[in-house]
Amino acid sequence: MARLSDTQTAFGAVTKLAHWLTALTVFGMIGLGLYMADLPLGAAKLELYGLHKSIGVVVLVVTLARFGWRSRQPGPGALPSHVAWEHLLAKATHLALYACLIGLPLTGWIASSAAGFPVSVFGLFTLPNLVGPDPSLQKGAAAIHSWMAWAMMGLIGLHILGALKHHVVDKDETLRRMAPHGAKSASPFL
Amino acid sequence: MIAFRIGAPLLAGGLFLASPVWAADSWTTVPSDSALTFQGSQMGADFTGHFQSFSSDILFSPDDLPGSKVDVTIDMMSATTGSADRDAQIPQGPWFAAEDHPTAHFVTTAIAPGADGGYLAQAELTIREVTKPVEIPFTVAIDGAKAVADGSLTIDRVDYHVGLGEWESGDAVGRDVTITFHIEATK
Repeated sequence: MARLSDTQTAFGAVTKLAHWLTALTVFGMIGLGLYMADLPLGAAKLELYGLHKSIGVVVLVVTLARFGWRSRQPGPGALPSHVAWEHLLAKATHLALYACLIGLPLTGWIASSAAGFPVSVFGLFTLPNLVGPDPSLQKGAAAIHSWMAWAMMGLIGLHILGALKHHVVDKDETLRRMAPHGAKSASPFL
Repeated sequence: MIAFRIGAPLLAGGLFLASPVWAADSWTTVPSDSALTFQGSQMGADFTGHFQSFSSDILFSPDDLPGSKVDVTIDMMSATTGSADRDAQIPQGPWFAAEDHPTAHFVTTAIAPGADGGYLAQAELTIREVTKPVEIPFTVAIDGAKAVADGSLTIDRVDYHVGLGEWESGDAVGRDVTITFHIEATK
């Protein structure tokens, strides 16, 4: 039976699931965003933008839920093999990644509102516009959205490099403890 | 003599019937207080477009519905929908094709009393190259020399060839479009 909550030595199933699902979704959204932006105006472009926005709303909600979840648990801390600057860099990277997970949907929502296109979530319901029609705000928000997406790709690269460094060079638990059946200290039933 | 006795009243009666007393009133719209809008949807989100420029010839009297007629010409380059991107697309070929069809036309063919003190108009609506008969319920409130008329009608844009091809399924841009008018006029 998988343990749901985090402890001081291990991540629980909820945190792990949220992490990997978010990672997959973010990769998909980056690919989708790059592809759809280059399409000529047409029904396909509209539909892909609609899909991108719908998924973006889900990412925002899940990320906020993750904050709520993580704030109520201790979570595993630094390992003996984590040097002080590595710990600091990791924390800063994680914080920046969270900022992107919130900032990207928000700037997207603002850009869509400013463009006069209310965000419809899978055609089920429509979000209120955050702002009224405003062409220059739309351009600004869209530019920040793009820039933040590129920044996030860099942060993800750094994040992966860090995980691999600890896994391959230090041969410690860092990556394993986030992996589905990872940590040595994990229950054999996980 | 007899002819004169019959003829004169007949002539007088004929002149009386032909007099303006029984013809429908002619109304002049007040553009600043009138609006012609259309509501569509895009990827599940509604949007409202306004035709900023349209002109109407209105003959209307509740007592002379057979003599009443509404004739509206709409400038198809004048639509604004709250989105610069969409406004740039709407006059183009797949949609309004405004270069080839600069105006749309609505003209009533019959007006009859409708439900709840309102009216029902049979009309011909022409958008792009298509003319179709439509039926539109509307209300008119007359206060002296001022009249306020309201009505709306929902069409399937595909019937008028608006958004065919890749747009025809209605998934990206909905097919139902509700056209609403609010006319204030004086006579």
